[in-house]
Amino acid sequence: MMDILMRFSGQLLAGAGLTLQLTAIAALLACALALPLAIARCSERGLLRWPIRLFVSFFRGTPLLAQLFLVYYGSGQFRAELSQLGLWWFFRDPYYCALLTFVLNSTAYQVEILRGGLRAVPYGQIEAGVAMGLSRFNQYRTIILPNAYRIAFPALGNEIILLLKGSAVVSVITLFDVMGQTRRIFSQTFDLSVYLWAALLYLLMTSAFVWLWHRLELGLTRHQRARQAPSTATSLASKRVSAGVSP
Amino acid sequence: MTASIPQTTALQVENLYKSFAGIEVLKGVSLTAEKHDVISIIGSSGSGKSTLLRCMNLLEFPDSGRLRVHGEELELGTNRRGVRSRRFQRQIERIRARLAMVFQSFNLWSHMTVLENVMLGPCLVHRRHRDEVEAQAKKLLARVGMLEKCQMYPDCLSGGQKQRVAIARALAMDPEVMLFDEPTSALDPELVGEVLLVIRELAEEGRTMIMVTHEMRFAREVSSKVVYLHQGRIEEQGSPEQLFNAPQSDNLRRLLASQY
Repeated sequence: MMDILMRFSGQLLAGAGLTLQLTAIAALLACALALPLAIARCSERGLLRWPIRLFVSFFRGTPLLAQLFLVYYGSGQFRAELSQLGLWWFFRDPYYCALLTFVLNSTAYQVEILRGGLRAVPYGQIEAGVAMGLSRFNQYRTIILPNAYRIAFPALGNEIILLLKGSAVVSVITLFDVMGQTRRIFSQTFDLSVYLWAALLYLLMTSAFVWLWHRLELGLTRHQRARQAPSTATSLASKRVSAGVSP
Repeated sequence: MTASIPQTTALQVENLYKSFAGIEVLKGVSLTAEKHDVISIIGSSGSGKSTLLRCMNLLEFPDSGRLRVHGEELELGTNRRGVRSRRFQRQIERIRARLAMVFQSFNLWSHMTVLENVMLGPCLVHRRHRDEVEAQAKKLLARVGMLEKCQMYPDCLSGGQKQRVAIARALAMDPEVMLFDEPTSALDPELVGEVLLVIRELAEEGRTMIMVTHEMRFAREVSSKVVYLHQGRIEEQGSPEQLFNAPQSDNLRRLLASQY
């Protein structure tokens, strides 16, 4: 069992690198896209709302694997058109296809998570800003978004964990992430224990992420824990159970 | 543009009408606050007091009526399309910046410290320099007795302390008129006094204030004018002595009888 790990640890780690890279880039891009979409989704104008609803329900309602096939193999059907548009270099690369699929998928989830956060901002706090003559931009910047992200934070962490594990599907379109490397090693050695090492590697990555996310959340919710004078607040920190993010 | 209004007028509303879902809450209310006036608006619940106050800084948009604040004049309800225009929005923001509001439920920003709460408006709305704003904010917090708590978050404070911070936050905007929407209604009885004390000091230094309140005794002591609102109309207004000692309206007499 150990000898498998010794022999192939380099490959597994390279796989972990790809998994983390795909997840991190997709999560960041999705985060950037989700904010304007969530704000538009909450606006009163139906014109903006409906296309976003459609987008969200498609990407939440279908399997990630099906979406990946649709982008990677589906785009092959339009090779001539995509070449003409100068986009073929993008769609013929499984890495970019996976990235695009993950960004779209995660954006859909994050839009819904943020929408929940935006809706849960205490209205009185917004009104206090309005009554003061704060511009719409400043209301968002100083009151609405800081509150909304704090509320959405645990759910966003969950979404990123799901994305990290879900990224294993890229192994079926010839990418060598953790899962891809594992399948290759297994086909060379027929040693099932490599799957155990892969599982442990995923667990390690998600656990590290949970730890990091928890630290960030403690920083973000300082104001909710500081019910005493700031000097004694740290001792109270452990008492407050933060909403669970679990792998 | 302001020539017709005497310079001593701080805020004036004329003929405000407002309905919610077909129910008329304000039926043509006109009210003028001169500089240094302390006006208390009293009335039973549902009489439209809070709505009237919220219409003054346009947290609610009156269906029709006119609003004048320090040289700005707003005709409401005539041009519905204009409400979304940028120019109109700027004018509304200017008006709101001149009228500071103190809410019944404090509405402090929970993710900011006490000091940050007080500093936000002057920094972002008046675009004043941070250091100068901080010095002024600390002065105001000292005034309401909250300076030693300036690094704390609102969640650590009692209701009375929160409301005193909210008053400091309103004062920091250096407002033309201060609007109080039942500032003590959400407080425990023993905390009411500390907030009223602050408001009383503001009245004595000549701040223009309009206040919706159920504290009849307080209204009587600090007000220069009391307005009795009944079913969306001003039924009686005058000096506190007039209204409390010799009420003309039967409804007001009944209200006062129930309070004492």
